[in-house]
Amino acid sequence: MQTLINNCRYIDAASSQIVEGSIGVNDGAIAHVGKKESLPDNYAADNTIDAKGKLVIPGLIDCYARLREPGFEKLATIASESNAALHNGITTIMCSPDTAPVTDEPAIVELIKRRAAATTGIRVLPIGAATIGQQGDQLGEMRTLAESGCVAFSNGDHPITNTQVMRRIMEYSSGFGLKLIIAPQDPWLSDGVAHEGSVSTRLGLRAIPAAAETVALSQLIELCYQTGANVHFSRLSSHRGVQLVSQAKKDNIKVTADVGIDHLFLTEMDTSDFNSLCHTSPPFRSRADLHALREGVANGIIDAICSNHAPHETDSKLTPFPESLPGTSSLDSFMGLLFKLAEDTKIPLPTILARATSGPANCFGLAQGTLEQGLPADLCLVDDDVDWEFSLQTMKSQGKNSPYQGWAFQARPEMVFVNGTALKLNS
Amino acid sequence: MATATQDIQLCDDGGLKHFLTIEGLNKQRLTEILDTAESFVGVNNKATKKVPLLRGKTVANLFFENSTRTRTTFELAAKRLSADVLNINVSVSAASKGETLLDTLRNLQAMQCDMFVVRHSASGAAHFIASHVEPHVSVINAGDGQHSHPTQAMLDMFAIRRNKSDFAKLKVVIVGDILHSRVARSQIHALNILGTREIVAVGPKTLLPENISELGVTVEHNLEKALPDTDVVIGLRLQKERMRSALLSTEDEYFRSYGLTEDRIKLAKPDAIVMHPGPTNRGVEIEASVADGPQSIILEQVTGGIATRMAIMSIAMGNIEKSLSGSRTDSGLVN
Repeated sequence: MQTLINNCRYIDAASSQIVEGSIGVNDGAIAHVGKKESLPDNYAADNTIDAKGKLVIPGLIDCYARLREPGFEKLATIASESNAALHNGITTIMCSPDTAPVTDEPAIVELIKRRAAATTGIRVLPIGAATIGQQGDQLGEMRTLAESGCVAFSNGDHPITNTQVMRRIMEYSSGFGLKLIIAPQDPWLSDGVAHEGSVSTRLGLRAIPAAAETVALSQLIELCYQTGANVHFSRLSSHRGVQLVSQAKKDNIKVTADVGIDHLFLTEMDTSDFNSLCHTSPPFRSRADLHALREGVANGIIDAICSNHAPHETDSKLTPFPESLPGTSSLDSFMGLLFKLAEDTKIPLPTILARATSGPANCFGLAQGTLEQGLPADLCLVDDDVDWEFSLQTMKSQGKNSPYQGWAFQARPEMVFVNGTALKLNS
Repeated sequence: MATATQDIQLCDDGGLKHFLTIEGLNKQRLTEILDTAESFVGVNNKATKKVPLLRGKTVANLFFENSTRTRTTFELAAKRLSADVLNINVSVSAASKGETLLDTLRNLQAMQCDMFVVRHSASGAAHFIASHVEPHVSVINAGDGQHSHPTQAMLDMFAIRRNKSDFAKLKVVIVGDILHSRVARSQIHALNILGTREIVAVGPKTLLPENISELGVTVEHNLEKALPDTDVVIGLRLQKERMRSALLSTEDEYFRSYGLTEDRIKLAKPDAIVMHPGPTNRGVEIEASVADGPQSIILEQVTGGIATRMAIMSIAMGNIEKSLSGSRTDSGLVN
């Protein structure tokens, strides 16, 4: 099966510029990227698509999302959430081990893979539990889980408090060449609901200082140095956090990092009217933190942008701010926000897209994420000139806890391919 | 900055509809409350202590957190305005059965209550309730978490105004656990709006929140340094039940550093007044002889509290009536 996308724009890998040309797919893999004239002679497309000048990008890769299944199907399911991902051009989504039962044995990994295969057709890659039952003491079956298909290991939303256990996890995983995902949060300093700053003081909200992140990061970086572990720091929120990761990279410590996409747009000010939809973990911090995170995305200190997707029932947010559950349902706004970031800042679109494609692919050793001959044809044809307004009513995710009601976006996928096969989109 | 917080408590014409926070109100609004309170003082001193302003209205005291003083003065205030009063101690009823706050609220609304007086341990609870009630219901914040306690601040302003004339000439020292104090936050806003010359927040660094100076106060950790030239000294309750971590050394050391003693009060102006929102921890934040001494107006605060709460309740209910009068006659329904 050969598919040819003609008359499209795409990001040229060598120059990082947006250029015009064609993309050919053969047998599920990318067979051609470039001028139509330079197509191989023997290439005879079964199916030719006229992109009409629209943008073809590698399918987006979301390296941290909670899909809630198995165990919390009341909140969301693999089917509902992968559908939301698909409609945002995400072709690979990594799902957290915060399931019930916890993703700590191959049977659960199999279950997730089977459910995923029966739904939209995007790649759902489980993250395995770093400790049994996420209890933070006994090491998880990381090697076995990796053989079953886990791409990385994490204790999810259960921080490991014991530094000796953390060290052992790092040693053990690095021995097998496995990657860890850790959200740096000191559990004692994180006992709060809002960023410690002007807004928390004004509103009397229990506060989480930026040091909750940096204290944990400093410890973890030292342990990485000690153990040689491969650690991906997930969901950075503070400017000092970015600096610490930057220094660790300069010191040749093998760390990578991501930021949750909401943290590139929202700050403590968005909580100033007690809007529980902006109650997140880590909390939205100051304007200066937001700028540092954007800077980190621009210069590559931050390798990836993840969704940090956390769908909740509506009731979980229909309470006073401190009693609401943290997190946003962020898949439905993912592509819109990525393109908006290019509109709102000086960061070039190719750089931003790299943080949601090749960036996470490099962090986790995935084959996808670039338009390169021979790689799996996970592609997205984007209409990046369509004005649409975000509405909770049209969200695909089962969780409607999004803070973006009424925001204006300009990009949405028109076609999505995984392994060269076009997946079905609702109009 | 988002202004929803401030707007939600006002009618379209700018009148108070709910009373959730002092922040965002103007001097005229606060003065109106104080003047109205003044007019109710007479009522409270008469043999028959009732005016019919809230006759036929039902006021529900919704207390999700224990309180004796605040609930009692609200109850008295509502009764003296001729309202029917419902006291609901939610911490031992619905909430413990797993009912959500919104459910509790909708049930009470279905019983045709006209005003909710709400105390809740979560900051923002009163805003949450106000944003979910029907338009004919007024919400009065009787304390939400560590955010706001606006009626307490107004009764404090009332007591200050009765003892000291012009706010613009005053130096006010607030001493104690400001981090956990919704009273202090509300007092600071009210004092600033009324034009107070200088407000000093005093306490150990652990009990003063980040960026507190942005609220319009100067920060001082040494009480002796703060007191000279002071007109009003406000002690705060040391809220031991709220302390979540190692914020203090011993009660003794606290008293030695920040206790309101006779010797310390002498450092302030000779005619300085001493205030405290109560209940006081004698020997921890205030010396008995100061609490009961000639400069203390602590009991006067309580008395003024009834008139102030009467004023706030009648103003809010009156404004809602005014704003709904059109739609009510149209529908012929009286909610």
